[in-house]
Amino acid sequence: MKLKNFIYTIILLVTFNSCSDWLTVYPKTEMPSNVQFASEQGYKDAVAGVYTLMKSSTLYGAGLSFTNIEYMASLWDVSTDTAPYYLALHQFTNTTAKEITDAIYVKQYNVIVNINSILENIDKDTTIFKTPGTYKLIKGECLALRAFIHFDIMRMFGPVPSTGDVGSIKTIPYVTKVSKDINVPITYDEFKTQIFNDFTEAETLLAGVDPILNYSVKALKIPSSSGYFAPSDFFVHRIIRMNYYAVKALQARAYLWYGEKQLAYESALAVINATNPDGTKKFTLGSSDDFANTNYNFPTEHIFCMYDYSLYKKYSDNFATGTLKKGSTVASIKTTMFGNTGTDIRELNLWELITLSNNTTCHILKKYLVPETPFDLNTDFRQIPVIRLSELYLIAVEAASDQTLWDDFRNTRGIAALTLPADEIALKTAILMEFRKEFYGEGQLFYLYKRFNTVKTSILFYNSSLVVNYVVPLPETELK
Amino acid sequence: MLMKCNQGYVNNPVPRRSESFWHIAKKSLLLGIMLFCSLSFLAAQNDLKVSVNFKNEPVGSALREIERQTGLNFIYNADHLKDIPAVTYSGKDVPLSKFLNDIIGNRLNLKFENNNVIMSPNTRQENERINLVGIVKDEDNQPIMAVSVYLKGETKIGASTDENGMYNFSVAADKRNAIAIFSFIGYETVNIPVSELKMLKSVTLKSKTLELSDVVVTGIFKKTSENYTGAAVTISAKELMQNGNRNLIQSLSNIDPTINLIDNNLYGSNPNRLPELQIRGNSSVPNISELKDETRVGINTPLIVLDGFESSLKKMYDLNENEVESITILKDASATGIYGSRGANGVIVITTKAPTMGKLRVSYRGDATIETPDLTEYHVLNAKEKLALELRVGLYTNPRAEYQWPLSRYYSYLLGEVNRGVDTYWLSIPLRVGVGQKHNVRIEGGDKTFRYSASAQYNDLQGVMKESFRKTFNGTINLSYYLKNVKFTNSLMLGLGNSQESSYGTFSNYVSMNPYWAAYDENGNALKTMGNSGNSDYRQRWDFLPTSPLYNATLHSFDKDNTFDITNNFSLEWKPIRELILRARIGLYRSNTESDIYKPGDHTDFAKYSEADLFRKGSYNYGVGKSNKYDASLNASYNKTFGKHMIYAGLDLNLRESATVNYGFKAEGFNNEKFDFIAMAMQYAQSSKPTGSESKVRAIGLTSNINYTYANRYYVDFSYRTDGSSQFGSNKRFAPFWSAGIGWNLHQESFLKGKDKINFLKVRGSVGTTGSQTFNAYQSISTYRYFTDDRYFNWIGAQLMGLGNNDLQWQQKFNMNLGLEAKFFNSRLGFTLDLYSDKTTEMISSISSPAANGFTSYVENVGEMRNKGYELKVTAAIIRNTAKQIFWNVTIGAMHNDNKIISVSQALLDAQKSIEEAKVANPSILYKPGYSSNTLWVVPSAGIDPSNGKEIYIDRLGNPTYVWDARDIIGFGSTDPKLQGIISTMFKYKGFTLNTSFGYKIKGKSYNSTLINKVENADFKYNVDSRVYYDRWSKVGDVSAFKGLDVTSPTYKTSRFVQEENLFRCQNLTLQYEMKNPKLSRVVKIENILFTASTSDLFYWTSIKKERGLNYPYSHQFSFSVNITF
Repeated sequence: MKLKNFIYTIILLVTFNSCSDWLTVYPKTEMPSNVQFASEQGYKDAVAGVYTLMKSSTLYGAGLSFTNIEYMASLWDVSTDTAPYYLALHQFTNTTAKEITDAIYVKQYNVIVNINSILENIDKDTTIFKTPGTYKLIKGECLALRAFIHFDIMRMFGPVPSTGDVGSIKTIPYVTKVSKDINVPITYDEFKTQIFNDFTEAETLLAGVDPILNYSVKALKIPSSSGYFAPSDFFVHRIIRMNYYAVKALQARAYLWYGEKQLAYESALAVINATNPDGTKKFTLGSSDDFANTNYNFPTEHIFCMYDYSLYKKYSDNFATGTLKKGSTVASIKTTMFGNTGTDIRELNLWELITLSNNTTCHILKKYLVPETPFDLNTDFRQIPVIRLSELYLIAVEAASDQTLWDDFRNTRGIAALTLPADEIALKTAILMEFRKEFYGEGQLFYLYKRFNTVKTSILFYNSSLVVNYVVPLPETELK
Repeated sequence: MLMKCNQGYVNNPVPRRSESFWHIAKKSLLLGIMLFCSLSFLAAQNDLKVSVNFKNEPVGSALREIERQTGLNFIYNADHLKDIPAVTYSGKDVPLSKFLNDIIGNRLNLKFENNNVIMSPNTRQENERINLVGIVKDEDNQPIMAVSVYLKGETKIGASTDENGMYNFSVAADKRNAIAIFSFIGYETVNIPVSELKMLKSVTLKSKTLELSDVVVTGIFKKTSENYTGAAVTISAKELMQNGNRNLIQSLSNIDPTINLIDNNLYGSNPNRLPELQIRGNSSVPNISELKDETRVGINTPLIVLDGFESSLKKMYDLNENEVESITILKDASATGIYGSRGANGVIVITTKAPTMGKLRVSYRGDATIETPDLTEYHVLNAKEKLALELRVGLYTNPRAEYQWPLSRYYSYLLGEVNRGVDTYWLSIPLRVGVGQKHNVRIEGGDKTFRYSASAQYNDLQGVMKESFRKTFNGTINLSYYLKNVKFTNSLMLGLGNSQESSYGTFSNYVSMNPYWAAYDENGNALKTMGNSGNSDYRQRWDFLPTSPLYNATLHSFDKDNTFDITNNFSLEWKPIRELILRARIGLYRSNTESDIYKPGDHTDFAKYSEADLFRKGSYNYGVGKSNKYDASLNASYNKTFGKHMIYAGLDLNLRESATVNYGFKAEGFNNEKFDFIAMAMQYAQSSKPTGSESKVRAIGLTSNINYTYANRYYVDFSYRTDGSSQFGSNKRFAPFWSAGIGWNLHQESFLKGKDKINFLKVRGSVGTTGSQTFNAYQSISTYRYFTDDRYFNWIGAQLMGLGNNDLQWQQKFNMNLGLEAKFFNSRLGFTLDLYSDKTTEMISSISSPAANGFTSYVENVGEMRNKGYELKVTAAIIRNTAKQIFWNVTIGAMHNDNKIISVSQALLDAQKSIEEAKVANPSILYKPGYSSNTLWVVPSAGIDPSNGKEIYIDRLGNPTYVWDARDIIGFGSTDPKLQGIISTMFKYKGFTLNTSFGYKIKGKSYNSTLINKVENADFKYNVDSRVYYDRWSKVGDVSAFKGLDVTSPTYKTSRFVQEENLFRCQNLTLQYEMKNPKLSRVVKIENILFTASTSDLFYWTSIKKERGLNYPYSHQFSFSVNITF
């Protein structure tokens, strides 16, 4: 009997005491979530992962900035029977077009699950955050990113806001957890609430810690040459991450979408009027100097952008080779869009007629032309804008008919002053004209067309076969 | 009682002594007699002696002769002599008493009165009973209960011992010469004549040194097979030796039909290709990511247990078969249940030889092996036919004159070549007769306390493709030490492997070479480019001239693997009391593998590299793999008998970890073929990065097993296992598995006991669950992976790889088995039948989730699959002549398995969609509910339209159409044969033994890929099957199986190429001669010599004409071996 007891004891000890720990094995190539989130660095890496995913070609690295979304706004020349062609015609049920929009949807929610994974863990043990401010910074960024991405999903797959009563339309879910369980679509209004909840919470969190409030964009980019001593390199270069002003700017964009003009105006002003400690403006409108310095993307206007070290390659592949082009002569842009002003700095600098090796010419956009290897960080503007200051000018103008800001904007662009029309439709048209010139290749025009519920004939370069449809269908897997 | 005065009594006259002896001896007399064997009588008659010589003399007349010689009178009733046989007896001066006793025995009572001998029936003794009382003890002098005692041939007379080991029963006195049998499981049966038993007060039974056929080694516990409820087959070393010499796995399948070797037509008899084997069909379905990888190797491979520790198929393949003591195949739940989560695919338990006691013994075995290629199924065109075919299909016709001229010129050039006599039979170029050898030395010896054995094996397998070989070295040292009731054993195994693929490349390249191409130039050097007309005419036919695979063989290149592995198993066994055995074991395993593939710049692989890539020519692939395992177990087994009850209980705790890592990289730029060192590369392969994988699995298992037997007749088995593994979700870390079995030994029942016609009859049944674990080690957890090729500004990011599933659990298999084992006619006819039905549930599969969840799928337990079938084995000893030493046994094994998928996840179905609809020539493996996983999915065909040579398909509405549409695809039969199995026979005459084993398959569907690839979709630029030339449709009215030659559109998977396959092949033929000569052993101290000659795969007859061994041909193997023990 003694022997038996002895055996039982051993078995019990081995089986139940340490067994579960012993049976927990982690891969070498991957890290389980609980280990990933056991350290501050793990969170930082997960955040970096979110941005890496966001700047992928499917999303803000191309698809949602200058390729697919711009086809949907009829901005690039397309060949018949290709995916871009069907996108341009808004024939989203076409298989090739559907693959593209499905991929955007899937990838957007993939970013969200990555964000939610961070948010789900971050409050479990805040003591692991050793660097002051990290917790709030990460949580704030993540909340805002979640709101931003959901907002973009809604802008693409949701209803046209100006058509009747959309408030109770249930289209897409607002996902806040990592789970296998099905996420039920919520109404347009509930969705809006969720977005602004997240933005507001993010704003509060970031307001306390985001160094962008206290240092200039440039100082944050290169802390060594400025007075900024970053607690860690995680706090530098704020504009390429979801910063405090980005939250404000994106709020402004969202408010305007939802028709909250006053709030949109206030939020826009908060960014436009943001100043550095030395009193200078935090963000300034670009000028011909930028073009002279070959900074075609107006880096001083970037409030939130995607940093892309392979932007030179993207430019080469997409623009320099003529893949993305508008016409084979300068006429369509110079005359049709800019009206041949001869003064508009964009008209003069942003477009170029190039000759390809097969002797064909094509008219291309130079917005993303960057040096292959920037001389130093000061001149490294390999950035794809997500939201720029000029948009906030236009938001403010639209929301509050702010003539001053309108004048400032037109002035910097080298075009004549224009009194804002009192008529709303005329105002919208004026804004649309400027918006098109300004954000060509930045993935915003489709949303503007959708918000204005623009008719086909007001769409520049529309294809005669286009049947306007601003509501992109959800992937089949989502239809219940 | 004596009957004195009866009518029948005869008073014989006084004998006349004067008659001559010989005269008398020839007289026939009728006589009744009974000899009373009392000493008094014998003493009284001591002086009387008789001299007789009887030959078949009736007893009466014999007695009369005695009367004559002795003057005695025999008084008897003639009736009583009826039963006494005629007398054949001769002797001089035999004492009368002895004589009478010899001829009459105790059949009659005999009384001496004066000069009379009164003989009467033995009535007193008929009623007398012999009481048999005693005790049965074991060697330790302990009484044994429930021992059955009975008389031979009479099961009704007998008893069994009580709790004190006592038996008490009586038999009729006339049974005094009968044999009493004492038998009990685990002990040697004792036979004692009743007359002797009467005197004995105790009987000792010796515990049996269990014979192989009497035990089932489950790898965890040892069970007696008579009371085992599981379906298991045990194969001895000797059987393995007699049934093939290719490798252990092949030999195993030659013996037991349930070991199903999956034919791999691609790799043929490549010695470096591991066979794929299955027991009782597929029980797993691959997940989405593995769908494209059609090999499916691994997921259905049975668990291989070597000396109690989990091992691998590769280890089994390379194992030194001379070290194998036995192999047990466990099939049903009762047998595999103790392996829980690993048992679903069946278990193969290998036990190696333990050192045996005795003075130093040395044995040597040497093998010489010859392998010859089997090209019987290859029918390629010769040069003339091929060129004619090319002309016929228009390879040399072009409507535009400026192209036509060079084409015509090129054709004339080729025709010139053909006429010159160029007709290369490319198939034989890379092939050879492979001559391999195998040497094995084993020494063993030791005494009661310390025993040792050591063996070394060198195995050099030479394949039929030139330069392809597999060389292995195995070394084993076994030590065992006995200290009272403790036994220490240590076994150390070392394996070294060195294998190389042929530098001639893939065999199929040679098959497709055009016969009108010369392989060598006039100087005998291999040509690099083929069909070079010496001018630019060839450009009309070839953009780039084709290259010769033979050229590569002339270069210095290699494709080799090195492996090194070491296994050490230590076990400590303690027997504190008779009933209990405690064992602790630990096994360690480590292996390293390295692979090197080097191709110099001149290799034809780089022939198309552009000028700019000149320096990138030549490549080197390097791969390295490491594996570490440990496995420890504590084991207790308890065996006790109470009266008629016997209980066996076992408990086993097992802990193991297995970690593997492998990685590799590729370098390029080797412009001088001599510099084959990887560091001589110009660079890493363009835009490549190191590849690799890593996994670590930990598991723990607690198994218990209880067996209860009542009176050796009824028994039940129950086992329960709890398994924990790191592979499964944190909420489902532990899973229970169980099995229950019952059995009934009908031959132990009184109504069958002792019958000659039925010697063994057992019915058994079992149910239970097992699982399988052959999946990705980490799929249950949600993990982050770092971006290795991307970053965001200065930050390296990590992304979530999937939705983990904490509830992920084992794939479960529910097994049911019903078995019958019988032996008839003195065990000359044996019969084993197993019926089974298995159902796999909770299959691991990806299931779709809405994209809003972040991932479109996650891994879940979903899907069911069923296998049911039967296995039958009949063994007949047709000749069993011990006197003349002639034996002939025939075994027929038959089995059928029916596989059916009941459900799979929608995600898996969706993922298969593109595979199903792919426009390809060969059907893909699809997993669809309601069908076998071996179903052939094709578009049904109505054959070739005789009017135009086009194929007519039947669409989903049943209408004929010329258009192939993926939506019309249906399941068109399964490759599972209706019946398959083996027929084997063993013939033995004195020292000679001849074993033959044939395999057969009846009525399985098969897709003839040769017909579609080499006949119908034949690429006429290269050589094709001769049926292209002879059998294709050519003119209106031709009823042909193949499309017209001018129908150039490719043929996709169609039922036209689904054929029914019947197969018969000779898997093995072995002739052995054993020389056991005492003289020999005295002179040269050789104990015995065993000569063996064997052939593997002597012939292969199939109803389907299909090229076999595409990348590597199949081979016939002949081997000769000698086995000497000193």
